[in-house]
Amino acid sequence: MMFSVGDRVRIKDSHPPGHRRTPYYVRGKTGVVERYCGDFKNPEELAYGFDGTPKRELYRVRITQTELWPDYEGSDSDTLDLEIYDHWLEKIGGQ
Amino acid sequence: MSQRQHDMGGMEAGPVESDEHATEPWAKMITSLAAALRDHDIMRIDELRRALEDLPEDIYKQEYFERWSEAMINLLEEKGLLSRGEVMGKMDALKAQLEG
Repeated sequence: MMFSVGDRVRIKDSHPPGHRRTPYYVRGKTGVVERYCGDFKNPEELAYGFDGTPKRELYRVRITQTELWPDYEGSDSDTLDLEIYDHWLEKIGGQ
Repeated sequence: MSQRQHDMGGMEAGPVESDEHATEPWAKMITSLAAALRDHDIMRIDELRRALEDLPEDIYKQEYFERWSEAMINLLEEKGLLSRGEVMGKMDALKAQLEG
């Protein structure tokens, strides 16, 4: 697997055209891998008639609400979990 | 590349309407057609999503199942299976039949 639970990751701040499975508002944000969800055919390729291979690893990433929304008024410990494919993630931090 | 029309997270969108409303028969029919197209490997759910996102803004603003029917027609045309004219022709024939 490309990432482990607890890894700090950045969601790529990338804006390719077409059908993309990473919401705009999380691009460029950082979070922590909460779990590995399995590997799946790539829906961004399936959407255009390709066979979706190679399969992509899907990770549940936990992001704090204050990271997502600069004007968030709730608790610093509030989080959002969302599932992101490996090709949208990059590891950050030393180890 | 700017934010696509379906990708609304964080946008101002107003309150969510929570009123119950009956599903019209034609909307159920569209759901069944989508399931049939998937069962016969004619359309994938990811293709439907892509076709929905690609709709022109004025059509995207229409009701949920209006969008689905427009997106499905576009996919059938893209795949060379049916033209929009053929679908609309059949709709007109059915309408005439129903109205007797």
